[in-house]
Amino acid sequence: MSVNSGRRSFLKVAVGSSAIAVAGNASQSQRLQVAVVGTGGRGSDLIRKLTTFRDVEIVGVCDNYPPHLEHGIEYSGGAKGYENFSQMLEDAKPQVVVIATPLHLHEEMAVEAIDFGAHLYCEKILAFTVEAAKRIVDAANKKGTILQVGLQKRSNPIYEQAVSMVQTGMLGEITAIKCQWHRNHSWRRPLPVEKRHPDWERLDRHLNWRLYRETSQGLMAELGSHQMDVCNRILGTPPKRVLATGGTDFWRDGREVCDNVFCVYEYDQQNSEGKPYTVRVTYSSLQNNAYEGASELVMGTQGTLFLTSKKGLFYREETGEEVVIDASSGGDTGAVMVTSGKTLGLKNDPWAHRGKPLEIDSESDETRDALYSFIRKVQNEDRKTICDGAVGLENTATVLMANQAIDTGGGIDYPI
Amino acid sequence: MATFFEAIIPHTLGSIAIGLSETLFAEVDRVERLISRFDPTSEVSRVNRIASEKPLKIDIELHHLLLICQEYWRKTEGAFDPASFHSDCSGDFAQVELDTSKSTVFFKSPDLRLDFGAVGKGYALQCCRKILESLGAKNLLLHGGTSSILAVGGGLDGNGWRVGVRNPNDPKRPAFECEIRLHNQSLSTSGVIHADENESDLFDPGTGRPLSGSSACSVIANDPVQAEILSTAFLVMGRQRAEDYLLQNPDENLRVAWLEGARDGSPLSWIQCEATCA
Ligand SMILES: NC(=O)c1ccc[n+]([C@@H]2O[C@H](COP(=O)([O-])OP(=O)(O)OC[C@H]3O[C@@H](n4cnc5c(N)ncnc54)[C@H](O)[C@@H]3O)[C@@H](O)[C@H]2O)c1
Repeated sequence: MSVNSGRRSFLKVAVGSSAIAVAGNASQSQRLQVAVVGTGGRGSDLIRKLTTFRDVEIVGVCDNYPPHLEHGIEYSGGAKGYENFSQMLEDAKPQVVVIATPLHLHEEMAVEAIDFGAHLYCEKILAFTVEAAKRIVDAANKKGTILQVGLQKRSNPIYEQAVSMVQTGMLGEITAIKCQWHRNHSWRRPLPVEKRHPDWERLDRHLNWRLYRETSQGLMAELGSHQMDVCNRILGTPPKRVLATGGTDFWRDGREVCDNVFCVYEYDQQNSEGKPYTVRVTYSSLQNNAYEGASELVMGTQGTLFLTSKKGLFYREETGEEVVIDASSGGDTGAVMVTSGKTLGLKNDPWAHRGKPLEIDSESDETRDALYSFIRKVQNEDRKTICDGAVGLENTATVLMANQAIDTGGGIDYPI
Repeated sequence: MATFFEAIIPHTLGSIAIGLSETLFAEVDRVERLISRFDPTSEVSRVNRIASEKPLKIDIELHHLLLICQEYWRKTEGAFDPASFHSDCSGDFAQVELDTSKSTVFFKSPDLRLDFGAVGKGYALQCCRKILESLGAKNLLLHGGTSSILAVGGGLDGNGWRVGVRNPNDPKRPAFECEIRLHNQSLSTSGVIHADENESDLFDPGTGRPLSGSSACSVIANDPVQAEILSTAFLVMGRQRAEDYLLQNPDENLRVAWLEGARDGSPLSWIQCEATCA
């Protein structure tokens, strides 16, 4: 439990998963043989989390960029390194493959790993196109592959808690969600060679794959995917429609993907009387201002949830406090309205609803817990992972429909 | 690390300055996420919570860092000790059991916790230096909270990055009274007391009590981890034991300055170096 002394909170819950923090004892022979492809930023992280499980053995790491491969080998504690994925499969014969390569390579590698007979942890988003994601899911279903997609908010207890708070009606009817991932960050990696070097272009495409349309689906795939997954989960359904706009407006450095996107998604919901209504979700991502960072604001008729990966805050909607009108002062007390029988202070002050939140804290490492859960599912031969192929496919479609909307355009020109 | 990091990047690297600084700060954040005991989701927090239950398999980088710490804990005879008791701030790294072949850590006492406060910034700088080397960035200054500095290259004029060390007794005097020039070196300064505090935030791991007095110690080393660990350890040891340490662990790359905070003349006296101090 975490204690936050010196700070007033009327109620505080700490959600955590210390029970699963200690991996079980396993003899050498039972250790699950895992291979990781893509040992860049994310792959290195995954390798390091995997090495903290006693019942996992990393039998191979693969990357075709030697400096990254070196890191992979080092972090895995000296696993065998490969520059070619097929060769790693053939030679290391892993039971589980973890894919952390750039997006455009997910399909090819996933299908190969599935055909080979390995279970699969594939980084988000599942694939570059919806069709490719379907092909992966079909292949996995046919083969009986245990598949988990790396949308690791699925393993974060704060979001678990948020979903149950919504389901139990603590927020009343959900009417809107506002999500954002705002950073002040170019997204461009510095390269080990200068621009005039003959290798610059090749290295730039390789290391800055996120910036080019041939290899990347941009901000919605890289950042928005996690948060749109949260929305689909909270609302219990994929969206039915999206309006979106975006552009390359600030970082004009040769990149092809948007550096800012704004989307409005529409979801079908039913109110407590079973009547249909629409919930709109706004999503934005910026790369030149970081105010409120990566967060989601879930708005309901009875309350609001402000969610981040390490802390959640729940605010009850204030209905206003009763105001006693002092007749001697002429009854002129400023912001006062008269309702049927009661006099309530107006609550249009933007800070009025921000008092005394219920705090939700987490002590858990969502990436480690996501892998831990996946490893357990593989050991138990359970295909119902916390983020399975169906979720991965739905997420891919949710994200890519926004990109399509941006490309298609729309809107009304001024003047009308 | 609850401090700020700053990178000073010469205009000659202008075109990649943004990407470079983003990469460095991302690396500092990564190290923080690994070793911060204040972030409940960090690997160190996980260790602090459950490493006394049974040997815990941990991240290889953290294990490696613990081995480095263990070596300095031994060499400094406990003056540097990143394992401290919750109850009284005294330390005892002897209670930490490391198994290198299995990459595990075990606390023999449930009251123990790891605290990398006296090595974290240096370690972050060391990690950053690896990245800078891989990117071929040859001239740049990076510091954490001004007290731990990594100088890459020799500064704008090639004569060394110019840094000043403050008189701990008289922080209003100009810092450049004591000027040091750094070439591909690290400098770490620890002071018993900060100007705006009345009790030291440094503890003697032997007694669990805060240090007293007004000295400060600056260590220049090739390795920022070594510089940071020794600058604190030497203060805990006191000048005499620090000098003994240097005799027993000869290292020609180390330069160690002792600041007693005398009000007249230079407050800085070098225990080991040839100095360029004004
Ligand atoms: N779940 C998360 O929070 C999260 C976070 C970051 C990245 N990701 C995902 O992880 C994936 C990788 O992202 P990253 O940030 O690590 O990128 P990265 O560029 O740091 O790493 C990708 C690695 O793949 C290697 N690679 C490229 N082509 C290869 C090939 N043919 N064979 C073998 N290796 C090859 C590259 O050399 C590089 O080292 C992406 O899908 C990304 O969306 C997920």
